[in-house]
Amino acid sequence: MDKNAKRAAQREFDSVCAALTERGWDYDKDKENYSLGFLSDGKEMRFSITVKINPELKVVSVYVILPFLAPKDKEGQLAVALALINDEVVHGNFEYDGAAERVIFRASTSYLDSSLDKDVYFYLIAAAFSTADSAAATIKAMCDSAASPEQVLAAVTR
Amino acid sequence: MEDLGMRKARSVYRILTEALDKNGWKYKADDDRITLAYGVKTENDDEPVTFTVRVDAEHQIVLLKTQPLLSFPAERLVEGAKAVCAANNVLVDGNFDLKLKGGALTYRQALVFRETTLLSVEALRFLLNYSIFAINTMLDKFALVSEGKLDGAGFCEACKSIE
Repeated sequence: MDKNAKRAAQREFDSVCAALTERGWDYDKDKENYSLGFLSDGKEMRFSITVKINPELKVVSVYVILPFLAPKDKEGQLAVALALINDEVVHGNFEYDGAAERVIFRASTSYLDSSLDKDVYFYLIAAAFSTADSAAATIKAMCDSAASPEQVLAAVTR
Repeated sequence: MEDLGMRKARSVYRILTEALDKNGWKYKADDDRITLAYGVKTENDDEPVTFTVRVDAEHQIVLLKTQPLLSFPAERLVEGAKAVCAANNVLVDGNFDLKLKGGALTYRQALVFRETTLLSVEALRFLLNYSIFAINTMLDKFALVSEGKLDGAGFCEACKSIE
Protein backbone atom coordinates (compact mmCIF):
# COMPACT_ATOMS: atom_id res chain seq x y z
CA MET A 1 0.00 0.00 0.00
CA ASP A 2 1.41 3.43 -0.87
CA LYS A 3 2.05 6.15 1.70
CA ASN A 4 -0.77 8.37 0.49
CA ALA A 5 -3.32 5.59 0.82
CA LYS A 6 -2.11 4.89 4.36
CA ARG A 7 -2.22 8.58 5.26
CA ALA A 8 -5.75 8.99 3.88
CA ALA A 9 -6.96 5.85 5.69
CA GLN A 10 -5.45 7.07 8.95
CA ARG A 11 -7.11 10.50 8.54
CA GLU A 12 -10.54 8.96 7.97
CA PHE A 13 -10.02 6.43 10.78
CA ASP A 14 -9.25 9.32 13.14
CA SER A 15 -12.47 11.05 12.01
CA VAL A 16 -14.52 7.92 12.74
CA CYS A 17 -12.92 7.64 16.20
CA ALA A 18 -13.59 11.34 16.86
CA ALA A 19 -17.26 10.96 15.85
CA LEU A 20 -17.71 8.24 18.48
CA THR A 21 -15.51 9.77 21.19
CA GLU A 22 -17.36 13.11 20.95
CA ARG A 23 -20.58 11.31 21.78
CA GLY A 24 -19.03 9.40 24.64
CA TRP A 25 -19.19 5.98 22.96
CA ASP A 26 -16.65 3.32 23.98
CA TYR A 27 -15.07 1.21 21.27
CA ASP A 28 -12.18 -1.18 20.64
CA LYS A 29 -9.64 -0.02 18.10
CA ASP A 30 -7.65 -2.17 15.69
CA LYS A 31 -5.32 0.56 14.43
CA GLU A 32 -3.32 -1.70 12.09
CA ASN A 33 -6.42 -2.71 10.18
CA TYR A 34 -8.16 0.69 10.39
CA SER A 35 -11.08 -0.98 12.11
CA LEU A 36 -13.05 -0.46 15.29
CA GLY A 37 -15.89 -2.23 17.03
CA PHE A 38 -18.42 -1.69 19.77
CA LEU A 39 -21.72 -3.01 21.11
CA SER A 40 -24.94 -1.05 21.01
CA ASP A 41 -28.32 -1.80 22.59
CA GLY A 42 -31.33 -1.78 20.32
CA LYS A 43 -35.03 -2.07 21.19
CA GLU A 44 -34.79 -5.79 21.95
CA MET A 45 -31.27 -6.89 21.13
CA ARG A 46 -27.64 -5.91 21.57
CA PHE A 47 -25.80 -5.46 18.26
CA SER A 48 -22.13 -5.76 17.42
CA ILE A 49 -21.04 -2.90 15.13
CA THR A 50 -17.79 -2.82 13.16
CA VAL A 51 -16.51 0.16 11.18
CA LYS A 52 -13.85 -0.79 8.66
CA ILE A 53 -11.75 1.31 6.31
CA ASN A 54 -10.59 -0.25 3.05
CA PRO A 55 -7.41 1.71 2.25
CA GLU A 56 -7.05 0.25 -1.26
CA LEU A 57 -10.56 1.12 -2.45
CA LYS A 58 -10.84 4.12 -0.09
CA VAL A 59 -14.22 3.05 1.22
CA VAL A 60 -15.57 3.15 4.77
CA SER A 61 -18.06 0.43 5.65
CA VAL A 62 -20.28 -0.01 8.69
CA TYR A 63 -21.30 -3.60 9.48
CA VAL A 64 -24.09 -4.24 11.98
CA ILE A 65 -24.14 -7.94 12.88
CA LEU A 66 -27.56 -9.24 13.93
CA PRO A 67 -27.15 -11.06 17.25
CA PHE A 68 -28.68 -14.44 16.43
CA LEU A 69 -27.78 -17.48 14.43
CA ALA A 70 -29.30 -17.56 10.95
CA PRO A 71 -29.04 -21.26 10.12
CA LYS A 72 -28.00 -22.36 6.66
CA ASP A 73 -31.20 -24.41 6.33
CA LYS A 74 -33.20 -21.16 6.55
CA GLU A 75 -31.20 -19.43 3.83
CA GLY A 76 -34.03 -19.48 1.27
CA GLN A 77 -36.63 -18.02 3.64
CA LEU A 78 -34.14 -15.40 4.83
CA ALA A 79 -33.10 -14.45 1.31
CA VAL A 80 -36.72 -13.82 0.33
CA ALA A 81 -37.36 -11.78 3.48
CA LEU A 82 -34.15 -9.76 3.04
CA ALA A 83 -35.06 -8.98 -0.59
CA LEU A 84 -38.36 -7.56 0.62
CA ILE A 85 -36.76 -5.53 3.42
CA ASN A 86 -33.87 -4.24 1.28
CA ASP A 87 -36.37 -2.87 -1.21
CA GLU A 88 -37.39 -0.27 1.41
CA VAL A 89 -33.85 0.71 2.45
CA VAL A 90 -32.43 3.98 1.06
CA HIS A 91 -28.74 3.32 1.76
CA GLY A 92 -27.12 -0.02 2.56
CA ASN A 93 -28.45 -3.55 2.59
CA PHE A 94 -29.01 -6.67 4.65
CA GLU A 95 -26.90 -9.59 3.44
CA TYR A 96 -26.43 -13.20 4.47
CA ASP A 97 -23.04 -14.60 5.42
CA GLY A 98 -23.61 -18.33 4.91
CA ALA A 99 -20.23 -19.39 6.36
CA ALA A 100 -20.85 -17.52 9.62
CA GLU A 101 -24.64 -18.14 9.53
CA ARG A 102 -25.24 -14.48 10.26
CA VAL A 103 -27.32 -11.68 8.79
CA ILE A 104 -25.38 -8.42 8.49
CA PHE A 105 -26.44 -4.91 7.58
CA ARG A 106 -23.76 -3.05 5.60
CA ALA A 107 -23.60 0.61 4.54
CA SER A 108 -20.54 2.10 2.82
CA THR A 109 -19.30 5.37 1.38
CA SER A 110 -16.19 6.38 -0.55
CA TYR A 111 -13.64 8.92 0.70
CA LEU A 112 -11.48 8.87 -2.43
CA ASP A 113 -9.53 12.17 -2.65
CA SER A 114 -12.15 13.65 -0.34
CA SER A 115 -12.36 14.89 3.19
CA LEU A 116 -15.39 13.47 4.92
CA ASP A 117 -16.11 14.61 8.44
CA LYS A 118 -17.33 13.34 11.77
CA ASP A 119 -20.95 14.13 10.85
CA VAL A 120 -20.82 11.81 7.83
CA TYR A 121 -19.48 8.96 9.94
CA PHE A 122 -21.92 9.53 12.74
CA TYR A 123 -24.79 9.55 10.24
CA LEU A 124 -23.49 6.36 8.57
CA ILE A 125 -23.21 4.50 11.89
CA ALA A 126 -26.49 5.81 13.33
CA ALA A 127 -28.47 5.11 10.15
CA ALA A 128 -27.03 1.59 9.82
CA PHE A 129 -27.78 0.80 13.47
CA SER A 130 -31.30 2.19 13.28
CA THR A 131 -32.11 0.24 10.09
CA ALA A 132 -30.74 -3.01 11.54
CA ASP A 133 -32.60 -2.49 14.82
CA SER A 134 -35.94 -1.81 13.15
CA ALA A 135 -35.82 -5.00 11.02
CA ALA A 136 -34.04 -7.39 13.42
CA ALA A 137 -37.17 -8.81 15.09
CA THR A 138 -38.77 -9.60 11.72
CA ILE A 139 -35.59 -11.30 10.51
CA LYS A 140 -35.30 -13.26 13.77
CA ALA A 141 -38.93 -14.41 13.42
CA MET A 142 -38.06 -15.67 9.94
CA CYS A 143 -35.19 -17.75 11.38
CA ASP A 144 -37.58 -19.27 13.94
CA SER A 145 -40.41 -19.85 11.47
CA ALA A 146 -41.32 -23.26 10.06
CA ALA A 147 -42.51 -21.76 6.76
CA SER A 148 -40.75 -22.89 3.57
CA PRO A 149 -39.12 -20.38 1.21
CA GLU A 150 -41.99 -20.91 -1.22
CA GLN A 151 -44.56 -20.22 1.49
CA VAL A 152 -42.74 -17.02 2.50
CA LEU A 153 -42.56 -15.96 -1.14
CA ALA A 154 -46.25 -16.65 -1.66
CA ALA A 155 -47.12 -14.66 1.48
CA VAL A 156 -45.10 -11.59 0.53
CA THR A 157 -46.10 -11.49 -3.14
CA ARG A 158 -49.82 -12.10 -2.54
CA MET B 1 -33.39 31.68 -1.09
CA GLU B 2 -32.17 28.06 -1.09
CA ASP B 3 -31.20 26.56 2.24
CA LEU B 4 -27.66 25.37 2.93
CA GLY B 5 -28.57 21.71 2.34
CA MET B 6 -29.96 22.40 -1.12
CA ARG B 7 -26.99 24.60 -2.02
CA LYS B 8 -24.64 21.81 -0.99
CA ALA B 9 -26.68 19.27 -2.97
CA ARG B 10 -26.41 21.46 -6.09
CA SER B 11 -22.66 21.77 -5.61
CA VAL B 12 -22.36 17.95 -5.34
CA TYR B 13 -24.51 17.67 -8.48
CA ARG B 14 -22.02 19.87 -10.35
CA ILE B 15 -19.16 17.59 -9.25
CA LEU B 16 -21.20 14.61 -10.42
CA THR B 17 -21.53 16.09 -13.92
CA GLU B 18 -17.75 16.68 -13.93
CA ALA B 19 -17.22 13.02 -13.03
CA LEU B 20 -19.41 11.91 -15.92
CA ASP B 21 -17.62 14.29 -18.29
CA LYS B 22 -14.27 12.91 -17.13
CA ASN B 23 -15.51 9.38 -17.88
CA GLY B 24 -16.61 10.62 -21.30
CA TRP B 25 -20.17 9.40 -20.68
CA LYS B 26 -23.10 11.27 -22.21
CA TYR B 27 -26.01 11.92 -19.87
CA LYS B 28 -29.43 13.49 -19.70
CA ALA B 29 -29.60 16.09 -16.95
CA ASP B 30 -32.65 17.24 -15.04
CA ASP B 31 -31.13 20.20 -13.20
CA ASP B 32 -34.34 21.07 -11.34
CA ARG B 33 -34.55 17.62 -9.76
CA ILE B 34 -30.73 17.37 -9.47
CA THR B 35 -30.98 14.03 -11.21
CA LEU B 36 -29.31 12.64 -14.28
CA ALA B 37 -29.50 9.51 -16.37
CA TYR B 38 -27.00 7.76 -18.61
CA GLY B 39 -26.47 4.45 -20.34
CA VAL B 40 -23.31 2.34 -20.29
CA LYS B 41 -22.62 -0.89 -22.14
CA THR B 42 -21.49 -3.62 -19.79
CA GLU B 43 -19.34 -6.64 -20.61
CA ASN B 44 -22.32 -8.97 -20.44
CA ASP B 45 -24.80 -7.27 -22.68
CA ASP B 46 -24.98 -5.49 -26.01
CA GLU B 47 -27.73 -3.25 -24.71
CA PRO B 48 -26.56 -0.40 -22.45
CA VAL B 49 -27.58 -0.47 -18.80
CA THR B 50 -29.50 2.68 -17.82
CA PHE B 51 -28.40 4.37 -14.62
CA THR B 52 -30.12 7.16 -12.71
CA VAL B 53 -28.14 9.22 -10.21
CA ARG B 54 -30.00 11.61 -7.93
CA VAL B 55 -28.54 13.96 -5.37
CA ASP B 56 -30.93 13.61 -2.44
CA ALA B 57 -30.76 16.91 -0.56
CA GLU B 58 -32.99 15.63 2.26
CA HIS B 59 -30.90 12.56 3.15
CA GLN B 60 -27.69 14.19 1.89
CA ILE B 61 -26.67 11.26 -0.24
CA VAL B 62 -25.92 10.71 -3.89
CA LEU B 63 -28.05 7.75 -4.90
CA LEU B 64 -27.25 5.62 -7.97
CA LYS B 65 -29.78 3.10 -9.25
CA THR B 66 -30.04 1.01 -12.39
CA GLN B 67 -33.03 0.07 -14.44
CA PRO B 68 -33.76 -3.69 -14.25
CA LEU B 69 -30.68 -5.67 -15.30
CA LEU B 70 -32.66 -8.88 -15.80
CA SER B 71 -35.80 -10.56 -14.51
CA PHE B 72 -36.00 -13.82 -12.61
CA PRO B 73 -38.97 -16.01 -13.57
CA ALA B 74 -41.31 -16.78 -10.65
CA GLU B 75 -39.97 -20.32 -10.24
CA ARG B 76 -36.36 -19.02 -9.89
CA LEU B 77 -37.08 -16.25 -7.36
CA VAL B 78 -35.91 -18.14 -4.26
CA GLU B 79 -32.59 -19.09 -5.91
CA GLY B 80 -32.36 -15.54 -7.24
CA ALA B 81 -32.84 -14.13 -3.73
CA LYS B 82 -30.09 -16.45 -2.40
CA ALA B 83 -27.77 -15.31 -5.20
CA VAL B 84 -28.46 -11.64 -4.41
CA CYS B 85 -27.55 -12.25 -0.74
CA ALA B 86 -24.32 -14.01 -1.74
CA ALA B 87 -23.37 -11.28 -4.22
CA ASN B 88 -23.97 -8.49 -1.72
CA ASN B 89 -21.89 -10.30 0.88
CA VAL B 90 -18.75 -10.01 -1.29
CA LEU B 91 -19.23 -6.43 -2.47
CA VAL B 92 -17.43 -3.66 -0.57
CA ASP B 93 -19.85 -0.96 -1.68
CA GLY B 94 -23.32 -0.97 -3.27
CA ASN B 95 -25.78 -3.83 -3.52
CA PHE B 96 -28.12 -5.71 -5.82
CA ASP B 97 -31.86 -5.60 -5.10
CA LEU B 98 -34.50 -8.10 -6.15
CA LYS B 99 -38.11 -7.05 -6.57
CA LEU B 100 -40.13 -10.08 -5.55
CA LYS B 101 -43.11 -8.89 -7.58
CA GLY B 102 -41.96 -9.32 -11.17
CA GLY B 103 -38.46 -10.59 -10.34
CA ALA B 104 -36.51 -7.50 -11.50
CA LEU B 105 -32.85 -7.36 -10.48
CA THR B 106 -31.40 -3.87 -10.01
CA TYR B 107 -28.23 -2.35 -8.54
CA ARG B 108 -28.02 0.52 -6.02
CA GLN B 109 -25.10 2.44 -4.50
CA ALA B 110 -24.79 5.65 -2.48
CA LEU B 111 -22.31 8.28 -1.40
CA VAL B 112 -22.88 10.26 1.79
CA PHE B 113 -22.12 13.97 2.20
CA ARG B 114 -22.76 16.75 4.69
CA GLU B 115 -22.47 20.56 4.42
CA THR B 116 -18.82 20.48 5.49
CA THR B 117 -17.79 17.50 3.34
CA LEU B 118 -15.27 18.15 0.58
CA LEU B 119 -16.24 15.61 -2.07
CA SER B 120 -13.90 15.07 -5.00
CA VAL B 121 -14.65 14.27 -8.63
CA GLU B 122 -12.76 11.02 -8.01
CA ALA B 123 -15.16 9.96 -5.23
CA LEU B 124 -18.06 10.45 -7.63
CA ARG B 125 -16.15 8.56 -10.33
CA PHE B 126 -15.69 5.70 -7.85
CA LEU B 127 -19.49 5.60 -7.46
CA LEU B 128 -19.92 5.41 -11.24
CA ASN B 129 -17.07 2.96 -11.87
CA TYR B 130 -17.58 0.55 -8.96
CA SER B 131 -21.19 0.06 -10.03
CA ILE B 132 -19.97 -1.02 -13.48
CA PHE B 133 -17.40 -3.34 -11.85
CA ALA B 134 -20.10 -4.96 -9.68
CA ILE B 135 -22.44 -5.47 -12.63
CA ASN B 136 -19.68 -6.74 -14.93
CA THR B 137 -18.55 -9.20 -12.26
CA MET B 138 -21.95 -10.58 -11.28
CA LEU B 139 -24.47 -10.20 -14.08
CA ASP B 140 -23.47 -13.27 -16.11
CA LYS B 141 -23.76 -15.42 -12.96
CA PHE B 142 -27.19 -13.95 -12.16
CA ALA B 143 -28.24 -14.80 -15.73
CA LEU B 144 -27.24 -18.44 -15.15
CA VAL B 145 -29.33 -18.54 -11.96
CA SER B 146 -32.26 -16.99 -13.79
CA GLU B 147 -31.99 -19.62 -16.57
CA GLY B 148 -31.85 -22.49 -14.06
CA LYS B 149 -28.23 -23.36 -14.93
CA LEU B 150 -26.87 -22.37 -11.51
CA ASP B 151 -28.43 -22.50 -8.04
CA GLY B 152 -27.87 -20.20 -5.05
CA ALA B 153 -25.15 -22.46 -3.63
CA GLY B 154 -23.34 -22.56 -6.99
CA PHE B 155 -23.56 -18.78 -7.21
CA CYS B 156 -22.10 -18.51 -3.70
CA GLU B 157 -19.16 -20.76 -4.71
CA ALA B 158 -18.58 -18.67 -7.84
CA CYS B 159 -18.49 -15.52 -5.67
CA LYS B 160 -15.65 -16.93 -3.58
CA SER B 161 -13.22 -16.36 -6.45
CA ILE B 162 -14.08 -12.63 -6.33
CA GLU B 163 -13.30 -12.17 -2.63
